[in-house]
Amino acid sequence: MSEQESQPKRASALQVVMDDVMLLLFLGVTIYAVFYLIWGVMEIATVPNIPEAVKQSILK
Amino acid sequence: MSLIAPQEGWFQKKVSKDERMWIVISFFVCVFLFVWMVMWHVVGRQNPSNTTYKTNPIEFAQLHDAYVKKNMLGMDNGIPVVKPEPGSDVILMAQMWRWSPVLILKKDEWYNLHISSKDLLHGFSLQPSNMNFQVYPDYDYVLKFKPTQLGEAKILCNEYCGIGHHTMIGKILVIDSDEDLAKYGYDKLSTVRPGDSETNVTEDISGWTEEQLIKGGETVFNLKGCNACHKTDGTALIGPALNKLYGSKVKVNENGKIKEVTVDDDYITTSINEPQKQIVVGFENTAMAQMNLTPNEIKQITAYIKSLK
Repeated sequence: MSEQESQPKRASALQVVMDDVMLLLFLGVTIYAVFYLIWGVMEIATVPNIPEAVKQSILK
Repeated sequence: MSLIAPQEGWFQKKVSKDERMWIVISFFVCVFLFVWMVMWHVVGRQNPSNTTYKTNPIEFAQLHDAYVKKNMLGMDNGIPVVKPEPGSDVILMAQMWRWSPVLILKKDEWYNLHISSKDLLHGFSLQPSNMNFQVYPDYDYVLKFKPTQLGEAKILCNEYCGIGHHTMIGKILVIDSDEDLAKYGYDKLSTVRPGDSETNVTEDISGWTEEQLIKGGETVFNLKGCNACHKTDGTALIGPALNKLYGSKVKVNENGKIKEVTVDDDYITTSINEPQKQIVVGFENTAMAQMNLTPNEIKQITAYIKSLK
């Protein structure tokens, strides 16, 4: 048996995730929740004021 | 950890043909559903997407008042009626407990409908079309709106907003031409605003005793829903408490200037008829509703406030 074969193969990061059901569940909920919250905060923070031209057309 | 331990070396194995087929089918189902998500906006009967602007209750109330003043045809049960020009910006304000103004729109013409709330969360529910969305204070929702059905549509509030919630019903009348106005009784509208001395005075109360006025005032206070915002036990709610108020000095914000005024008959009348004129400091963000009380009712409310110790 060669030295290379005797060493256990390291699993890739993707395989580690795929092999762990609870980790998959955690990532599936967390990634969605975090990005959805960020999207919501960005939406609220970027609401513009009523354009001055629209305001003036009503007020005048 | 997994429910069933996978076979050793599964990650390196080739994906089988039938599994590959399921992946391809799932992918195309996802694409199909995604395309329909967008398509419903075009061919579906769902809520239209809108533009949102930031505003505040005071600014929006000013826009509403200016808009109504400029375009008003008359009054319908104390609510102004306007007939906007097609293609124009139209203001619709929700407040406890009315939608103002009543809108007369032309069929198959586009309008930019600006909707916001003057006080708290309301729900815009257009019936019978069944278009629903929430109306928040501080946000102006602009809907590009084209009425396609003739007749009278009702706007119901479908978010509970206090004691008079069930009475909050607005109207949108869709017409083909001005001749249709007579059919719905909008050709002879009252041009007198409620609160003007000529309107709604059905009874002479000049001979009433102070006790009768106070009792009447208490009834008006409860019936018109003033108690939804004003307490009489000294605690501030949405609006200031009303006990020990008459005769006291309060700080008010008038067009951004802070000044001190004495609470008397004139101040109470102004506060009811023009709630935005002098806003008690600390309550600037909870604009009071336009209550449209008659002079008789104001007289009774004033007597009631005067009696609250």
